[in-house]
Amino acid sequence: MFGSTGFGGSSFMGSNVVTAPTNHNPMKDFEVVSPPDESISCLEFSPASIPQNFLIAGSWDNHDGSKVFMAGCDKMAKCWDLNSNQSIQVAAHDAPIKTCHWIKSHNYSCLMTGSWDKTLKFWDLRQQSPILTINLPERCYCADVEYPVAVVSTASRHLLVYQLENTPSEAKRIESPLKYQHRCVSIFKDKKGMPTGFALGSIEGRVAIQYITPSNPKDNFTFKCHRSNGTNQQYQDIYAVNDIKFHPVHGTLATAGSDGRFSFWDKDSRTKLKTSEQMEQSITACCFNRDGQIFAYAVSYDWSKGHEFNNPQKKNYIFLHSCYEEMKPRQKS
Amino acid sequence: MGRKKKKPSKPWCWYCNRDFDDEKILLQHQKAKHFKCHICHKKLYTGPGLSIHCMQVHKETLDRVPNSLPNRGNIEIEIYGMEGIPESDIRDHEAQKQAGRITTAAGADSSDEEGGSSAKRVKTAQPAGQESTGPSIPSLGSMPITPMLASPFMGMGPMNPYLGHLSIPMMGSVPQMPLPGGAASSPQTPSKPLFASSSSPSSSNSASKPAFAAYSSGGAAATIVGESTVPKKSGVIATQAGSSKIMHPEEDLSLEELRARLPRYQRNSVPTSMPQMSVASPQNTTVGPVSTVSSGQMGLPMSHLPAGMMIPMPMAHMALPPHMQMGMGPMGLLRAPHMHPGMPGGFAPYGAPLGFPMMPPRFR
Repeated sequence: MFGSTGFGGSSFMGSNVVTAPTNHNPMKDFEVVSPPDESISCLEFSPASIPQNFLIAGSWDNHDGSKVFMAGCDKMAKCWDLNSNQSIQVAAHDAPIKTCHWIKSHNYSCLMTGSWDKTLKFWDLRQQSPILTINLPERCYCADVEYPVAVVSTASRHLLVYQLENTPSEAKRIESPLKYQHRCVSIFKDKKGMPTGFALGSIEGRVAIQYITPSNPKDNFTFKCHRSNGTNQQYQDIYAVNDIKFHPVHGTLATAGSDGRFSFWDKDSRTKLKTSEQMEQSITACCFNRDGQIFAYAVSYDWSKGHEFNNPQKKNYIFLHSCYEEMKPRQKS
Repeated sequence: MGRKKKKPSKPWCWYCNRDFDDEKILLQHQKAKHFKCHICHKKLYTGPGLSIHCMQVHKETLDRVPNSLPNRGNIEIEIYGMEGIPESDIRDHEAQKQAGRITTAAGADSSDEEGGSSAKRVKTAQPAGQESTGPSIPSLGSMPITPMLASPFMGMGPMNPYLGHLSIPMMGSVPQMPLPGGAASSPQTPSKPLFASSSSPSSSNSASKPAFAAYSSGGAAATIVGESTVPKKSGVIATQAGSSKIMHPEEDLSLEELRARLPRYQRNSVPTSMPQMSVASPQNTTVGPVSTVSSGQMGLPMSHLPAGMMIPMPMAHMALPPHMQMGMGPMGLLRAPHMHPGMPGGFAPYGAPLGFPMMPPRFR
């Protein structure tokens, strides 16, 4: 296995890392060998408790990294215990489960699942029934959890903020700052490490930075991204923002677009730090490893052009990009 | 708004129909978006000013105002803030705003959030439809109300994504407009049946929420029960607007929902209710004959499997069905040194330790 730090340290694969520059790897990043055959819906690096970096297309149990939660369109969520290599069902909904997040609070731990059946359910893994069910106004499309805050967004552009202390409860509903379908959300923290706001991405190539309780309404803003031909031209192709993630150290953010590019942004100075070259297919998921050295992104078809453009022959990729320097915030001049 | 007080309406931009809090901001917006030279970025003060600048300085002709709606691109009209807007457009805008308020009231049984956002959506949809409501509304004066209301809706509602949204505000707006011929009182009745009929083409259940009928989940609400989780009738997104195109299918479903329509993802079901499987399959939105055949195939072997067997199909398939978040990495960490790091085939051996038999390939 690879070492624990540095660029090469985050693959569970053997040493056949492809580094030769070919068309499919315009950023000349490390390529993960043998990625999944199908479109990759989510990536997560292992938490800090595991000395090595392991990358999964799934969701980790936040703290001891011994369990992986998987949720899917079979309307179930499963917990895969890595030590025993056993997988058990831990959640069920009436419709495909779109999100699952592990919540660890001082007096409880549970799995939060958001589903297209318009409910948010909280599961104690030892019990068959959810310990709490919250109704959503619409199908859950995306969610993020940073204790003690959870943000959930649904169809019809609803935005709900929950506080997770004692018992999860709805804290507020925010009117959407975006005009189009929400696609991804990611919570960011302030300098003290408290979750204070979130970034919300839509299908219309736009991201909104929203503070949960802004000191000044002008703190909230939106910016356009993942559009072709620049913003001054008459004709523009507008792509969906498939994923947003914040850098764990710098607090800057990365967006993954349906246009096959990823970009780094500094929300405090409201600037763009970098845009990547274009990949062969859209970037469907991305994530940072725990120390912010590595940015992983998955290149696969996101269905944005319908069924016709799904080409099972086209290979999917997961790339690892060294990002620590590039993601440093821009100094406000 | 009970009293007849005519409070000044909020400033809005004639070029792109956006609303602003005050005229100063509107002016800044116009200078930055509509009166800015795309070559040298110099901000001019008016449309004609910009056109002259481009001609003299860059020797380029400008035929339309940048970032403007298709019917508002005329560079020769001199607009400055709210000054210079032609009367007919002012009336149109007022009508649209009234329509926006009506639909908010109509959708009042829903939460504030939805009401607010539906009003917003109505407004966003307006620019696209204005080209048709603009010329059509003035011509309504002499026509009787009912047939006039019926035809634009029927013609456009189901077809054109923009006007599908607009059909509702249109119907709302006409009764409000001070049409000649004493039409003030009569429109009230025709508008009701029209609202009811508005829900039929675009959704199956939105009688209670006509304002959302044409939008996103109006149709979805009824169909998300039991086995069918992906709405069959959904609203549309205005993916084409002026000079930009959103690279997204027009249906207002998430990409994952669209992907979940694939037959291989339809074969999921709540394990406790097996009969649902055979019911669910014919509801595949894919080609009819194919789905019935596949359901026949699936139905039989499925029925023999204990509920738990349903699980591995998406799992055993290494690839990730939508939002199927599966672990790959940690396999290296597990006590399974025989595990080939390659993922695609690799998952199969895990089918065994997990207690699930491998499914035949056709169930991929």
